[in-house]
Amino acid sequence: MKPATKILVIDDDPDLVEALKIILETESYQVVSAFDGKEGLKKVKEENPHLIILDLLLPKEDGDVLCRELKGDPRYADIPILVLTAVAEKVDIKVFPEHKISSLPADDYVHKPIQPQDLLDRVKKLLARSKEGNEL
Amino acid sequence: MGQNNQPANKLEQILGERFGIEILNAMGIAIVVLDPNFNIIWANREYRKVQEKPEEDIVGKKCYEISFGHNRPCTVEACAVRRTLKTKKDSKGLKVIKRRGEEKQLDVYSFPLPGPRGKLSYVVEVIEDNTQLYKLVELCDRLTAFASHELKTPLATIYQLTTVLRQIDLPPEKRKVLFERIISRSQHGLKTVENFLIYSKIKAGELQITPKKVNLYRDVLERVLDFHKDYTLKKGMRFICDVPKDLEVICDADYVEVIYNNLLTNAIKYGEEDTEIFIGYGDKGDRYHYFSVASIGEPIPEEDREVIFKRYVTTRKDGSGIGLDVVRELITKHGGKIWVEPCYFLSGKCLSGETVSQEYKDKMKEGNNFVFTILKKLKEIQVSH
Repeated sequence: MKPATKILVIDDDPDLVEALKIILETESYQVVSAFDGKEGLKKVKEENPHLIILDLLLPKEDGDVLCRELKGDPRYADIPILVLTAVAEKVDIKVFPEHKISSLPADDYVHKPIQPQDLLDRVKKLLARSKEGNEL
Repeated sequence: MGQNNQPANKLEQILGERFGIEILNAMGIAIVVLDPNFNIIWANREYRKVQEKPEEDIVGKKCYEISFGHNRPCTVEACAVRRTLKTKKDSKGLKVIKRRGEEKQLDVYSFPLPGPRGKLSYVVEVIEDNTQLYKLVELCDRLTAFASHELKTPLATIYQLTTVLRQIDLPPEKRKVLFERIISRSQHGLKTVENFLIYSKIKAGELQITPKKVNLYRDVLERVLDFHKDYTLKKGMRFICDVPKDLEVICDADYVEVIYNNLLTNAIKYGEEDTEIFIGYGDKGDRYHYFSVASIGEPIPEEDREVIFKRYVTTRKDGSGIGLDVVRELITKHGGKIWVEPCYFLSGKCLSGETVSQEYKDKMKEGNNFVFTILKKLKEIQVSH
């Protein structure tokens, strides 16, 4: 049997993680989760996920720091990262200047909340792109 | 009444030639007169104050030298005086100067002062130091952004859970769990709004308390602990409550609930996972009840222990800076005070930093203990206020 595609959701909001998990499981993805930046990094190393859904405002280590760390590490740079955040680029940039989304090396980003189908489409697209990249 | 009896004329008689100068010096607005070559001819007292320089260091010098330490004039785009010299019309602009490492934001208005034959002889520059105003605008923007973010987070989650319930077929027990989460998140959103509403009441001076005798545990703490139960469980935390179950306190139960909600939210948010939160009570036999909320976590540095209770101050990047300000104001209304002290934890007990020797401190977990007081006889506040 083909192993399930594993997605790591890193968000400090357990309710949101639960909602994303339910959405992703409708397409038979295997979902693992982490609730802060440090745990997120640990899970990346342990679980070797095919894709990461990452929040930006995280305890212990912020999502933008983790995103840069992973993309700067050749071992994890190929894992697609979908940034999912409540920090609105134009509204909150004064308060969270370090979280300027457009300057992040993420593969895609979207604001919370997300329509289930939109999430699934984005995940599918990123996984397909990642697969093509790996086959080249 | 004859002309000589007019107050202005009387003043002119008293002050003589100094009449105009004294008036200009008495104004709380900076005024400087420049010649067309940017030389300062005269500056009033406020201008010297803004520039933080004595008169002898100002008069005869170039304005750009005084303001910025430059050796040539600013560009026409940046300088209201240059625009006035060019157009012979009023002009305005913003000037940012640095004094002792601090930026000052100055609104500048310049006016042409024609000489006897209508030729532009001088430019009068009027300067308002609006640094505080600009800082307040910035703080207001920051607060608005924080308020939006704090409200957006629970709303986004509620929306996310609702879309899942609407679009995905789930077993009834799972649906029930999600509905409960939606209710809980809505309550948290409401608490956030409540905090902002109390805050605006405080700002407007409209906050009134209605003190009544209440059983603190039954009428306040039970509700508060139940409200925070889910979040504490998720972080593996638990409450240890030492407040006597029969303790009666004269207070406004709704606002004491807000005090506890804010303190416990912080304790859960910044406390270490898998640890205890201590909710304490003490009676020292004086006029006050002593309440406390302590948690294990990064100790608040000594230099921050007072400022965290000030308006708009947050030492955390994910804080609005109003939570503890609201708490402080509500406690003041109850005739009490709040402070934070370092504390140490051992075998399910929370000990004040003062009572633990250095030898033991090194072996114990550190944390923060927020202590607040409420007057036992609240009527005393109504008399003293």
